[in-house]
Amino acid sequence: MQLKASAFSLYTVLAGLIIGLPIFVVLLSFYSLDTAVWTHLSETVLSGYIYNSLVLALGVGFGATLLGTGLAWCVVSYDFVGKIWLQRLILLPLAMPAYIIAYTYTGLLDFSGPVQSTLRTWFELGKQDYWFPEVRSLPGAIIMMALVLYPYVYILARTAFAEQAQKFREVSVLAGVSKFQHFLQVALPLARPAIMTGAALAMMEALADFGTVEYFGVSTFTTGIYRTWFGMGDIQAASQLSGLLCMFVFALLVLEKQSRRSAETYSSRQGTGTQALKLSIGKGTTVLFLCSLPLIFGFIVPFIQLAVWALAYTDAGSLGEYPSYALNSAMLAAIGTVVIVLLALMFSYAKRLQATKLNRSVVQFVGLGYAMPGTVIAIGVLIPLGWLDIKLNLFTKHFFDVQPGLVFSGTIVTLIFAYTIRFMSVALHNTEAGIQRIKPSMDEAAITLGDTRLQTLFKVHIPLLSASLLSACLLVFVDILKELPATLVLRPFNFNTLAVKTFELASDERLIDAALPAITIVLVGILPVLLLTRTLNQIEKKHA
Amino acid sequence: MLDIRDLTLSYGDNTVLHNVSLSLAQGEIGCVLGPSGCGKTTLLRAIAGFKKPESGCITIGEQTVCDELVNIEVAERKVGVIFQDFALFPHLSVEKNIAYGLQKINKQERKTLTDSAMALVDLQDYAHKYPHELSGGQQQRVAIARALAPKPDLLLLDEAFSSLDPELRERLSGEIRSLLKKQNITALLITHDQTEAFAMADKIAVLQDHVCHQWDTAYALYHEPATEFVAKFIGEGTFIEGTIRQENQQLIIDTHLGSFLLEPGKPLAEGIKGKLLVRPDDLRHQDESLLKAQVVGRSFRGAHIMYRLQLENSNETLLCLAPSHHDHAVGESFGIHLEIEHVICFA
Repeated sequence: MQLKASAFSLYTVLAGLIIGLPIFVVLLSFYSLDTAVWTHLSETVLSGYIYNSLVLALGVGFGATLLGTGLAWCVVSYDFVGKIWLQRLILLPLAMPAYIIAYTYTGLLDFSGPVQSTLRTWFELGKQDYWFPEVRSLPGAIIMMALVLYPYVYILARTAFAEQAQKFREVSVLAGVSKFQHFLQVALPLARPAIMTGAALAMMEALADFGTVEYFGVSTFTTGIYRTWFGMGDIQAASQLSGLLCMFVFALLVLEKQSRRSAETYSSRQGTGTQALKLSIGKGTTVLFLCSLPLIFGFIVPFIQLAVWALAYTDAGSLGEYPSYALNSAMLAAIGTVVIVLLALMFSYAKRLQATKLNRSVVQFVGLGYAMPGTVIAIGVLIPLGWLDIKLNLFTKHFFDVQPGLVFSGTIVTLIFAYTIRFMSVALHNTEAGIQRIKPSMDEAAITLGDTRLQTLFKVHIPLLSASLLSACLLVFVDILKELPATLVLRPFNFNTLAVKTFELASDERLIDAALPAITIVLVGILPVLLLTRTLNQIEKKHA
Repeated sequence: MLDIRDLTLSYGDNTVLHNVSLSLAQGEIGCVLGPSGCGKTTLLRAIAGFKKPESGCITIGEQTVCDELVNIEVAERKVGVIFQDFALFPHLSVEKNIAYGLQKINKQERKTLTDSAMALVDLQDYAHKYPHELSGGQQQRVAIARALAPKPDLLLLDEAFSSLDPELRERLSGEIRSLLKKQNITALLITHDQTEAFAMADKIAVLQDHVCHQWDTAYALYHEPATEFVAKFIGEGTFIEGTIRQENQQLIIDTHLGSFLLEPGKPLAEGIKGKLLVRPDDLRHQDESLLKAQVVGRSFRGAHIMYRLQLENSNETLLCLAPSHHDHAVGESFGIHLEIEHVICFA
């Protein structure tokens, strides 16, 4: 029994090291700092990268906080007509990848798009007669991302507000403090750690984004890394830029972890949670209208536009290559899901068997990949696997006189590796929570009845974890389907996926052609959002 | 059947068990009784094999399962465990839960053993129900059947009744005792509840501060406690002080209640202060008795009243269990007659 448990630990540590390898590679690239390259970078583009990335992250953080907190406060403290429907739909923008909403709005708001055309006809304006804001800009990117990332803040803020004791509110009423002052002085400070966590997550996503900024022509770290590598072929400089980006990400990571910790101390709740106040029809309708705006602009409008385009495209006849790259996407996502969820299960189980410091830190470490931008992971994966391929070819050439070519770096192995790093935390989150719900006496009962540790895993844990494993699979599957930057960089030659194709077609201004793969991603992406909505509502019911 | 000798176990620098020894014959039911944190659960885990002791040895049946050289795996110790929370697998039916430990034997035999285990606890009608569909008492019976189905050499029960409500607890502990006795099963029960220990066990170990104070029958624990802790922990009673003197090779303690002959072989010597244990049943209420005490407290217990008394010439208190009809108010004078059968004295 001891031996089996330590075998699990051994595999865990090994797998942890392999998964951590790319991160080390990126950070180690600073070891051979090329001053010439850095002088060039800092003289030309670096300040632009830093400025744009920071403004983007801060802007998205601010926008998402504003929308997410406001929505959460209204939903928790007021009861109004249509609230149930709002709660069911409010997370839908999560299903809309930023690069898809970005290109959809570009199509909508461009000079030739429906909005400007309509305005021109209505007011009989000419080409030069009016000013219209440019979507393809830094502010545009901020708005696009805030529209799809606000649910990160909303989810955490809503739980935090709902957990606040109703008594607090009663104290404020007794003290004659207005509702707005109560919000500012009590509710907001108490929920602040939770809101900060959400904002940090949204900002990480903004820093990791590649598709939107590349499409909008805004130079940030991620586009810079991409160009340094593909444009200038300088993988060294690209990985050093990645390392620099990692510093920003780590800062956010620290912010997130610390906020989470203080959120726990603030959440000690006694008595019933905040009770919603019933609003009159008039006021209620106003609140409903205001609260629906993020949903309308973050999901409904772009979705309708995509649907219109997709219908126009399919009306034209053939589906083109759509079935082949949809199949590619499904295959990649399926393989990735199986690999990632199995690994996550192994990590969680090893930690359960031997909760040593080492095992716990490995699990914590492999769970950090979500913070790493896909572009950075791509660089970190490609360097060691490329090296491995070269060595392998040298070896086989020397001994067998054959060269197998790119066994790792040019195949989907690389992709799966990158996905594993990026999405491990999603799966781990589910397996960890699930396995902690199984009482330790279950394990001991099975062992006293003659099971080995491995048998216990298959006969007790996996059946009991089926719901957690299923939701882990769903989330990972959809995340892989949506993933753009790493797939774009690491995919085998001529291998297309839904995300890659959407991006390429949109970049070529073939917006209508891009709609079909795009809407496919969005539609599949709705599934985990529905799951999340249900879980969130259940949590809320528990607090009420 | 079960033999534990000089078992010592620690978590890091914390000693949890120190030189604990106890043994059970085939068919005996033992109990480890102690306040929480005394190490009793650790003892159970060491016997089952979840925890390896630093020193000492454990023998189950003919097999030494653990000493300096060997440490037999949990699965091979032939020990059945009933957990505090029962640990029934929620995804398996009653029948499958009970058959869980029988997977290595052939189908036919498995069915027979499962059926007989179910019959033993009278759960045949519930074979296809799931744990959440059962009451607490039924769940416990499933746990018992599951633990007994593989015919273990030893059954361990970890606070197995504490999650049930008191009424059910009493009934079930009686039922299970007769079931174990009928099947001639050796069992060790871990509990913090004296009544449960008295109801179930043939022999009881009192554990405190990681040490086994006494391993004896319930009668002996009450009437002949080995240490002051056991005297205080088991049953009710008070101590009255006295001085020890020697007379004709025998030790005698002089107290306010009189002089008492001490049993030989105790670590007591002439001239030291001693404490004499007086149980409520050592006193009899007699209105005409010359020995008087004042009632300072009383609690009505139905058939009896427990009186707290203060002696007239000292501030020491005594307990007296008097029949319910002997009704005296607080402050009244109360005649007592002493009949101390077991003279228990500690230094």
